[in-house]
Amino acid sequence: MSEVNGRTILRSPLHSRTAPLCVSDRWARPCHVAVPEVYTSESEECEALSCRAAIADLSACHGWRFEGEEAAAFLGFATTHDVSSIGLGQTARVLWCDDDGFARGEGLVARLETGCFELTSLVSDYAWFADGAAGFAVEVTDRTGLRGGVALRGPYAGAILELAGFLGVPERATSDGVAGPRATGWRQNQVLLQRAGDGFDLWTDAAGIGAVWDRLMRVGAGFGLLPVGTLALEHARIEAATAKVGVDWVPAQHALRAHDLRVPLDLGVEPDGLRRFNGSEALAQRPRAGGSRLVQLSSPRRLQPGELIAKGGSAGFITSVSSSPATGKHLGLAWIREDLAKPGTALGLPGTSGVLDILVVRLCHAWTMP
Amino acid sequence: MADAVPGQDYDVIVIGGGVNGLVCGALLAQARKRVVVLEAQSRLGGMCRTDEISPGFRLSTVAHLIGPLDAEVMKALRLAKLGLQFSARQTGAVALSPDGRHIVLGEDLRYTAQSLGAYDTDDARAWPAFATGMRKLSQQLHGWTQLPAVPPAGGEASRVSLLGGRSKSAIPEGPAGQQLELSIAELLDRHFATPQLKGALAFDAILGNALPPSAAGTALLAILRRALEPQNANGIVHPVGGAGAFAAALQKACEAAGVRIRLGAQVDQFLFEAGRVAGVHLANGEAVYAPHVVSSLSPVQTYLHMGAERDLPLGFKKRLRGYRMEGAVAKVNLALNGLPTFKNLDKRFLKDRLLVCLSMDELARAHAAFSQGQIASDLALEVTLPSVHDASLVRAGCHVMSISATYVPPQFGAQDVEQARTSVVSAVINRLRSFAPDLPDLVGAVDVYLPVDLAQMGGGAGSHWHGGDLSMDQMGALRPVHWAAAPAPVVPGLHLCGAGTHPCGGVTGTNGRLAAEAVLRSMQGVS
Repeated sequence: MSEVNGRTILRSPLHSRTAPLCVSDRWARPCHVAVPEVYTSESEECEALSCRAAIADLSACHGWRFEGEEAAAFLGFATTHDVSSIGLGQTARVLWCDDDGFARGEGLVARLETGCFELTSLVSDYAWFADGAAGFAVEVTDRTGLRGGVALRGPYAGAILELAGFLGVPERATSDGVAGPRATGWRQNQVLLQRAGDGFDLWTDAAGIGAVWDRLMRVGAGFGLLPVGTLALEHARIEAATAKVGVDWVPAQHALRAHDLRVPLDLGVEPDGLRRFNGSEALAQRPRAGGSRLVQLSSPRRLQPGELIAKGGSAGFITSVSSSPATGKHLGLAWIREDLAKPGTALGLPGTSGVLDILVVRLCHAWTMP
Repeated sequence: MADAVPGQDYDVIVIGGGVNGLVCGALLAQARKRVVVLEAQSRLGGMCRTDEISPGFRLSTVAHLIGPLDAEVMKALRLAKLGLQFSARQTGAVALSPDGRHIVLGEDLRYTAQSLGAYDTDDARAWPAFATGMRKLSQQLHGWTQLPAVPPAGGEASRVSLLGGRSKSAIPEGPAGQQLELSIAELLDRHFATPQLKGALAFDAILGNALPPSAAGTALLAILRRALEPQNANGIVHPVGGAGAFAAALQKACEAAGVRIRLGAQVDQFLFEAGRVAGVHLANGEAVYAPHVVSSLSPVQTYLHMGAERDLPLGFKKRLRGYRMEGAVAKVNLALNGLPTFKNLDKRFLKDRLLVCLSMDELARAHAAFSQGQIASDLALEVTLPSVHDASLVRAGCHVMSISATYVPPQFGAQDVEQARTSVVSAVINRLRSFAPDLPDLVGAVDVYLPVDLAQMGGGAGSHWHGGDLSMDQMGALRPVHWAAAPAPVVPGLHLCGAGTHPCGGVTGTNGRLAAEAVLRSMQGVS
């Protein structure tokens, strides 16, 4: 732990591995943990992600464990997903709302045992679950900082995993985010293997994550495996049109203005209308918060965050931008008026050198790739 | 009476036979609903009770003043016809001073200005305008106190709403209304210089709360009591025979309306069916069924400790845990073998409330000690002598004195409760000695209720004088917490009627009436 400009910066359990590799000395601080933003070259890391294989440090993510005979009942009430439908060793993406139905956070739930789940998220919201669990036979513990995680991405990720001894790689995630069964050979029952986006996440206790990293790096060397920083992952996220909590949408507990509040449908998540969960009564009255949708945009030139226009009026605002050195595309994510949220719609971004022409590519979805 | 529904014993169960529970039960029964009131104690009335503290000395041992009574309740329940009489109307107060320069805070503004003139002529000149302005504001706020405080629908408004939205039933807008969002200390500092005046007014405003005079929004409390009062009503009163007589009248109203009253019926759990409350389980193992349950217990006890917890929205549950309802007032009752002599105070003022608080600094020091679990030597006191206007309470020539002492902590660190009780009594008597030197010699018997005693006596209603601090974040649509005042009950079938609901605590009956109206709306499917 160290302090920079009065802010506490925590070190990842992989810091001793990542720091020597971080030649650029450019660091990001997701969840107050220092992780490399770029190791050596942004373009090489983007290329590894899309063409070969990439490994990234996920240890900064928050993690909470829910144990007890009513763990599924509580988590099912606290989130928009019926977690009792998750099989042993499977994972699912979940969103959770406040009492008014506004989204507070999103994350990945893994079922470790019948009555044991682990939720991984970029949102700091442990107290919400810990306080809310009162009345249920469930114990909520904060595992943040006690675990370490790595993301394995890219076309060769599956091959590297198999060669590294992680047998029975899970099936690809289904459309609702549920991933196939976990089965790891090496260090079975110690490493949690999850399908995530177009790759895999591996989690274990903080003391053991170094060994996982070392093993994957050793095996992955022949596949051109490269450690990648947060910037390359960010490019990939925007290319995949995935909204990121805290960047593209503000958790309800941090929102200062009404128009920052988002309900699940705004984020492309349609909860089961028959199921009761926290905020469901409010959502039944008000299924949509505002008249805007999050879309992916493309542009001929580099985008900057700013207000978009259409037919002389305001059309919305850009929240994320990417100019990937690997693909050469200039992409962005933006909240725009619902009537403009059709692929192919032309928008404008006023700038110092005139109005930049922008096209709507597609609608975004909520799940963040960490 | 409504037709019996198979499997349901009653239409409504009311938990707690205090004032609000009885008012709610009686009004619902008048609307032809089958109602049962379940009271855990062996008598009704809750904090409204008259006890004999020593042979020949009777008084209201806990709630010592009644009102301002809800005009609709008085009319609907015909309490006057049921024998309720008042011995005195409490219109004024006197801020006592050890040097005899007492400040009379009555309805006659000129009289107050005159008594203030002994301290500061500027304050004397400022008083009439200040008092008139606050009176006007209280009249504007009256409607808000009499209507349900419904939170504005969703979104940003519900997050910042203080008193139910700035609409027809909210705080008046404009500079005058904005003053009410200040602390009482800041408000008084803006208008006056006399420490005795500011101390007495600040104490009178926050009395019953655990808030310091510097807490934002406490200026509103300076007019809240008056805001509850309809024009030309009795205001705060002493019932003949003490507060217990008021409870007795309500009991008669309930019986006349057909309410079934069960004493010694301790409710320990709610019963649920198909996601809504369907009845209650009693400590003796019995189950009582009804589609609507109204609880006069504290919101925290009702929602978090009786089986409803797992059905609550997460944010609501979290907010409830932060609900501030720790009591800060001790009640000391004295049996006196004669009328004490207050230095330089005309006997006609002995009918009024006597306030002992010499400055806001003194009040702040007492609060600082309270925050550390200690009892300050200079407790602020509100003193009444009910026997001065109700001779039926005592034997000839004797008197009873009722004292509310602020701030007394709910816990005392290393000190045990008995030691604390002794400390409070000696602090109170020592304090009063400087105003009425003969008082200690007249004391025949002492009866003390610490906040911890009130919590025990309330059986789940809590130890707070008003059922929870009356601060901006716990009032109106936010009382007890945001969402609790929503038109549709948070837990279907479960309603609140106690002091922890809008508009506030005190013995008014308004909370019970508003709950009865909410239940009737809910029965009709109207939200």
